[in-house]
Amino acid sequence: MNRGMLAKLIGLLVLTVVFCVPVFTTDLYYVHTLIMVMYYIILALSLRVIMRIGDVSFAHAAFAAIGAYGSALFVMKVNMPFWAAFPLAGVLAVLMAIIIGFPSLRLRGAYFFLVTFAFGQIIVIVLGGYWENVFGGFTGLVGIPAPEAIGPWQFIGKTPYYYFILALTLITILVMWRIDRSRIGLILKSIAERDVLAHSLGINIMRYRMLAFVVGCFFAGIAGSFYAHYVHMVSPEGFSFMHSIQIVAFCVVGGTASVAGPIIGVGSLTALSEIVRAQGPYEFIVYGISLVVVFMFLPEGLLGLPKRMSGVVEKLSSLKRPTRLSV
Amino acid sequence: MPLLEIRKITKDFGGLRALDGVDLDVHQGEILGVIGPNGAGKTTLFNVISGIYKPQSGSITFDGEPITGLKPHKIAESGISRTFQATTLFDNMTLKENMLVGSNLRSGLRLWDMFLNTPKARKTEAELRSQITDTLRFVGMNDFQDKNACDFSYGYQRTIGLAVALTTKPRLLLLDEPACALNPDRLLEVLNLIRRIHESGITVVLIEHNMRVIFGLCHRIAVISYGVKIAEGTPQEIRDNEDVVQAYLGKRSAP
Repeated sequence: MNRGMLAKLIGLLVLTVVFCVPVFTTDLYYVHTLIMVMYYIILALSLRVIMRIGDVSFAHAAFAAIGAYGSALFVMKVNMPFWAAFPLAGVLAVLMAIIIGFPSLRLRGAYFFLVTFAFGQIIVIVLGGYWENVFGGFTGLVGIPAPEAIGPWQFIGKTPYYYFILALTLITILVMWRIDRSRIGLILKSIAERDVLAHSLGINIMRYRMLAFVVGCFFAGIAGSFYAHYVHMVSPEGFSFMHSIQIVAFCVVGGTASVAGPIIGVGSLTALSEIVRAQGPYEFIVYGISLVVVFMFLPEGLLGLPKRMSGVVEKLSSLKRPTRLSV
Repeated sequence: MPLLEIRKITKDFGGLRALDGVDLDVHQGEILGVIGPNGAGKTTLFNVISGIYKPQSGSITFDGEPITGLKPHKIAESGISRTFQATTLFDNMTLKENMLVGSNLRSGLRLWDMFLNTPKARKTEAELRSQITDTLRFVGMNDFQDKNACDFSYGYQRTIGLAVALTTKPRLLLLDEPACALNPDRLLEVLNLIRRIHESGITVVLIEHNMRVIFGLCHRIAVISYGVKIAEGTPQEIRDNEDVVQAYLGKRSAP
């Protein structure tokens, strides 16, 4: 059995287990944790496609906020059914992404970070401090209704949400994986690698940067919409800069080389923060420290671990043999 | 009508005038050499032609169409391709991937095709791969398609840079110091390659400091010094030109 088949088999196994969890567990805490894990996986995967062009957006939580608030307001103020508000929330995030993208995507590195950081803060400040009769101020919006039933399945309890987010996560993984494998992924990689060369080879780098940014923000928006109708309330502090850093940490710690990276990042950091949370409210310290550790010792993230390990193993095994002079 | 007409191109960087009213014609089917001391503005001229810099004033016409100030991808689309002074490749991508990126321009693939992997996409990809194999055979590097670009030696990287520039099927190729720092064997190979590229119908403009390359390859030569074109003509005319000798070539020792 070769590696490809093995990976597919493991994937299928994991999928089956994940699929059956609500059937076997009555402990709602586990179901909730898994739902949140999947929510973060979508956010991390959508940030990763933005990072594929070489820069990190620190406004990602803000785009989830746009989707969350947008969807909640569509349903509560305009009486839209959830299933219309949900994709519309994504469209709203896309519109904001285009508006923010035009000035920012020309910039690289630290400048891109600063502009996305600024936009992210502006969005959160506006949601918290202005038009309080619409956005609900610092307390935000409460009483956000659940999605309407699809056929016989009503959104009561956690199970329907679990399968909904599971479907969303799988779709996100599929889309991101497909982008990676296709020529689009190749072009994004080339822009990240050396944009001047890509530009001179006829690639419209602004268009591809915008594409990656828009796709990433769309998925952040619909994830936010899910969140709003799952926890039934949204507030600005749920989408703060700390949360943007958290999402960045998922991608950096897991690695961005493949679609598996953010998933591993979410899994490991969530597990770590669960352990730490038992000791006290030190969650965000976990994210901060893990970011620093990864930058210093493992820049490719956990995805780069096998390579590092084999390098270390090679070094150790060569220590045993006496060094031979090359002739 | 010249293939490329450069008229009164002026490029400033803040207070520094890098190009001052440069006029230059490139004729279809020729190999034009651009020489001059370091810092003369040769690469800046290339950067203006290929769209990386926008000139303060002046115009550039390619095959009758104005291309002044267009973005680099538009310039590539119109048929001008270039290489860079420092080896510019996609380091952490394989040779095949480097070529695939370049081949994108003429592939006719739309985003939708790429994402969904439509039959059209699959057919085009197969065609492109076979074209890439042909181009790599042309430059003698077909066996190394899956090697990372950064793992090739410097000399081979220059050849790869050339091959990648060729994937956009240019009519005009701008080469920035193709012979730079090459050992004599590699130099000969690159020279032959440029000849063969030229024979396949592509017009070539090259910046070079290596006079044997320039005088060995070029039909005409332009000399640029301190942002100004100080001479233009056949190799013999340039050799005999006093200004050029003073500015760049150096005094001839006793024959």
